[in-house]
Amino acid sequence: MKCWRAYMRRNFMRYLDGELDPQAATRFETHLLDCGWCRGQVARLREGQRFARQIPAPRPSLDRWDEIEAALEHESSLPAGRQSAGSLLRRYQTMAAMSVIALLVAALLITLNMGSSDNQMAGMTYRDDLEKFQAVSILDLPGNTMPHVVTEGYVSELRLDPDGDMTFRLVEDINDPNPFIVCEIIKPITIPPPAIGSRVRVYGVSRYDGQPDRQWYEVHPVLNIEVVRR
Amino acid sequence: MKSQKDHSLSDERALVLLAQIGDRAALREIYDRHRDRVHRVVFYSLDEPLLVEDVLQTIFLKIYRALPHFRFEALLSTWIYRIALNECLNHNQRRRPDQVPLDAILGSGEEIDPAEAVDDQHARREVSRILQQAVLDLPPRLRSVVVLKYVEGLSYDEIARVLECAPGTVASRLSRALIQMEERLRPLRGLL
Repeated sequence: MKCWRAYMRRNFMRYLDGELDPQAATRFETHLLDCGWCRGQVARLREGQRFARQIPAPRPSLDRWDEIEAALEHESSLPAGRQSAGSLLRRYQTMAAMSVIALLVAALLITLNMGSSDNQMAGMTYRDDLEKFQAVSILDLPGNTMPHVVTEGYVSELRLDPDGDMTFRLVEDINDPNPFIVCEIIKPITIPPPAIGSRVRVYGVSRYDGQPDRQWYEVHPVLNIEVVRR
Repeated sequence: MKSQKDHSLSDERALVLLAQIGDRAALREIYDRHRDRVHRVVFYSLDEPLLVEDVLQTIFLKIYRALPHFRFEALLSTWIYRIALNECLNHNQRRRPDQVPLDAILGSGEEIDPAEAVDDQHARREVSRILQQAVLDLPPRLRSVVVLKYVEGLSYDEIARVLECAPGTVASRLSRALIQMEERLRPLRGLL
């Protein structure tokens, strides 16, 4: 008769692979003494495991590097207009969707911010929302996995891009250009730009810019800036 | 002092950063380091064995195209396993060849007499073929966990990260897979 103790059944593999802690393993072995059905299952799994450990590991018979390299060179030599129409379309669709989302978020934040008389912050007044942002230092941003972050640093340079967005660099130490991140306030610019040399806390979306001439981590779009020290 | 693991991780990070800006030697190094494991996973995940080498090439091209977006949130090998398995899954969905059931190859097992093997090498090749076919006959979800565990030697947690599921799910799939393998190979117990 099948054993009704689902907890024991779930632990068959962990027991056989030695992944149960000693206490749980002892409990499991005590149960095995009393349960013929579980003993039978464990014996079958052990046999299956013996077969599985003999599965051969095949090795590739050909070296495909030359073909891969040729394909890479062919791709990099294609002018943008001749790249796969599907991939370009998908890229533009993604960019368009991201822009719309970013604009909607910015619009929502501005709407929420309207009418506030006690505005300590540039873009947003809802402390509860800000507390949901993951605090990450500039140095730790590459290891961050959370989408919404808050990071603190000194504003080292500020510029207005030709497309109307505003970017500024944030550094740990005002006298050291590295490590840095780039923060981007997307147009229309509704967040007052921070002063160069000031220490600020920046709230926004964490991302990595993998363009060959960039290769840096960003907070993009910036959703809010708090001035820590002018 | 940094451990050997720390060194290899920082070494891998440097390698990926170089590859992300298109350094050809770094791309080659990634290919050399990961080719065998991608090949093993593709070999056991693809329903069409003749296409293994072609799919391997496609996977590396996909890896290189996606590399600029790799953000070190997982080990490079975990990320590569994921791309390889997804590509095999997509490939299998696009193309569903007729499969030869294991029984057609194995028979009942009664007719096989180990004493009749021409030589040991032939017997070993046959055992390999039978085991490979037993794995290939598993449903794809069960096949992946068996290969990642027993061919690649990954832990439950590592497999869970590759397959993006809970370690408990890995254990339960492994259990189902091994029971199926035991059932299929039981007649050949004396040979294997």
